[in-house]
Parts: sequence; structure tokens; C-alpha cells
Amino acid sequence: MIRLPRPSVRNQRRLTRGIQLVLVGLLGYGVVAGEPKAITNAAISLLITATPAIFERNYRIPIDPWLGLWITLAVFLHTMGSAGLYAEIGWWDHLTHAMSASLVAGVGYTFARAVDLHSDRICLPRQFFFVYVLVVVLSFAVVWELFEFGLDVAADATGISMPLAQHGLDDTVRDLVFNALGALTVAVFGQAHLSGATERGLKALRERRGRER
Amino acid sequence: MGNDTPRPRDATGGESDGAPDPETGGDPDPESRSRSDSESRSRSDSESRSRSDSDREDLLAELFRSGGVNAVVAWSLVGALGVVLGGSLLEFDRLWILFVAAIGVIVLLPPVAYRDWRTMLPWEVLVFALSPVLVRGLFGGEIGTFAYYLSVAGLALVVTVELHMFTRMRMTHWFAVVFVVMTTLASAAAWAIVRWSADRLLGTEFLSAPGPTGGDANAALMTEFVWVTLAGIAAGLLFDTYFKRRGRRLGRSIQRVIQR
Repeated sequence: MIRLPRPSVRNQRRLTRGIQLVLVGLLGYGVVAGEPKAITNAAISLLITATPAIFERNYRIPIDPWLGLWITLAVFLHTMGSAGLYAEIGWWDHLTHAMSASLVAGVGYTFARAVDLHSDRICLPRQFFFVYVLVVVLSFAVVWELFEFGLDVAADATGISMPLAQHGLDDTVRDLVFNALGALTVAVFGQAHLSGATERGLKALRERRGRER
Repeated sequence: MGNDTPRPRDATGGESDGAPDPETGGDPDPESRSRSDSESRSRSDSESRSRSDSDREDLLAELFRSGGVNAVVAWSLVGALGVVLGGSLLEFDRLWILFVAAIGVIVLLPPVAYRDWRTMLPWEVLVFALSPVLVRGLFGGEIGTFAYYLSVAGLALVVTVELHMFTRMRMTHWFAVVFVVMTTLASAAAWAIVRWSADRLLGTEFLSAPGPTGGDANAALMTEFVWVTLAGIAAGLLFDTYFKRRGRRLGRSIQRVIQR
């Protein structure tokens, strides 16, 4: 099992706070400058960055700080992208696609692992997870591209500018390629990092149910 | 299809159709029996655990059966596949050779693994999965994206069932259906990447034909994705009903044996 290098817990917390501060700044800028796109993106991102903390507080599910940082970073990169970096830097789009794909892969992996642990009738060998993660991400990518396409069509029909848009065939397929790369990263490194997360989550849920009884 | 008459032995297991089973040895052939015995030892207790509590749940394994009629129909489909492969070898259509050969390996895995020609996939599943290949190969016509991806879903189902049979992997009915639908969508994405790469590296025009801007080509790809998604959902619903029907039939035949 290969593990990625990880910053210390304190540095992870600092990074998360820093990112949230930038998002708040962006939200403020959006309000002052009257840019609805910046407001929605920054607000949604802030909400998402808060979810790990909410989970920990309300459900007592310990979230790996690294996982929290990962989620925060993914939405942050996207928000920065729509704030202008998508247009400025050509590869920014690839970066965000790989990041968000890795998130989808992580969610898909955790789900399947939870099912595997929870149900006696389902047994998913380790090798299968590799294929499974790729399948989850690529199928989600198809749905996502269709969603973007739908927004494009709606934008053309109504004249309302949408927060997302497709930019031709090459862009679409490159999105798919980088989604696949993000998924591959998780498929290679995910087992080492995520298997513990699922077990901790299930354990916390079980204890919680025990307390309620 | 198959052999529906339940035999007393079947009361304990999910083999009312006479499906082969490595543990109890649905096969009188001593050689294959000894082989499957060693296999069962190596496959440890997870198998026996899943067998005891999953007589009804093992519908996936139940998809394999060794009925004479089923085998004859299935082998004639394989024969047609062989003709298509021969044709594409003559035309030297590389993509098509690869595709047909891969399907052939997938389909012939069960009889080879069990060394019994009667252990074939249910013919209705084979018709479903092979129809686009056979229609294109034998009649020369093209069929729509929808039909192609329906058959991709059928192949995904076959592969899932084989994973269930030949590896430690165990799936339930709902997980298999969800997985097959997702695999259908994912294969569309992977296929798009392959074609796009071929366009760029080999100068083909799989995806980029319609226009230089890429806008039209993108719209064409998205239309394909819409069809794929619909095909995936349709296949999922179809398999769901199929499994349920087989499940009910299996339940009835077990009931009959118990009442006897």
C-alpha cells in the first residue's frame, strides 16, 4: 500500500482556514462588485468546506483532516477557476476536473466499502475496487458532461448565462481524460487512505445508534 | 429454456435448473469432480457461507445452467459469432476483430472453465448481448447507438456474473444492476476517449468529422451520451425484471420440492 505524503494536522487546519478566508473574501468581492456568479460559487464552496466540521459535530463522525482539506481544496480550485483562472490559465480546468473526479472517486469508494462491510452477501475483493472506482468516476463524468450540455442548451434557449459551459469536443474529451486520471490516482492511493475512513465512520454510526437506544 | 424439473438434490441449493456447481458437483464426470473439489478447497469458507444463507440470493450464479436445449441455442449463437470473426479477419478490420474476439473469450469462459460444453450462458442473455455484432456481421446493416449500448450492458452483465462465479467477489441483485448501469455509462466515456485519441494520433475521423469548430462534434457526442444513458437505464430495468422472474421461478421450484 502506497501512502501519499501528508502535512501535519496543525498545518492541515491552517490551510483549511486560509482557504475559507479567501472564499469569504471572494464572497465579499462578489457582493461589493455585484457579480452573482462569484457570490453563488463562493457561497456554495464555503458551505461545502463546512460539511466535514458539521459531520464531526453533529454526527460525531471523525473526518480525517486530510480528507477535509482535500474537499476544501477541490471546491476552492473550482471557485478560483470561475473567478477568472479558467480563462487565464489553460490547464486550470484539467486541474479542477482531476480534483473533483478524485472526490467523486472517494465518495464512490467509501460507499462501496461501506456496503462491503455492512452486507454479508456482498464481498468485493481489493482488485475489484480498482475497476469499480474507474467505473464510478467515468459514469459520473458522462452524467456531468450531459448536465453541462443541458445547461448550454438551456442558456441558448433562454439567454441566461449559466455558471458552467462546454467549450467544444476537445475540451469535453479532455475533461473525461482528466477525470479518469483523478480516478486512477484514487484507485492507486485510495485503498491505503480511505479504508480506515469508512471503518471509522461506520463505527461512529453504530456507537451513535447504540447510545440512542 | 433449461430444465425446470426439480430434483431432490436441488432442494438444498440454487440449482433447480441443473446449473453446475463446483461444490456439490452437478457433474457426474469424475475428472471434473476432482478438479472442482480442489477448487472448492482453495476457495475457502467464504463460498460455503454464502451458499448456506443465499439459496435465493445466488441468482447471479443461477444464470449459468447446463440444459441441453440452452447449450444448443447458445452454441449456434457462438457459431454465428465465429462466422463474423472470420469475415472481419478477411476484411482485416482491426477494431472489429478485437471486439468480436473479446466477446468470444467472455462467452466461452464458462464452458472452458467447467470443461463441460453444456455450461453456457442463458441463450436469451446471449441474444441480447450479441445481437448488434450478429446483425452487423451477418446482415451488414448498422444499428443505432441505443442498441449497441444495450448490448454493452448485456456484456457487462455477463462479465459481472463471471466475476461472481470465478472470483471471491459476491454481489447481490441490486448491486449488480447498479454496477451494470454504471459500467455502460463508463464504457461510453472510455470509448469516447479512445476514439478521440485515435483522431488525434492516427488521423482518423471517429469524433471530429462534423465540423472544424468542435461545437457540432461535441453536440453529436452529447447526443450519443444521451442515448447511452437511456440504454443504461433501460438495461438496468430489464435485468431487474429478469432477475426477479428467475428468482420467483426458482422459489416456486424449491417450494415444489419441499412439499413433496
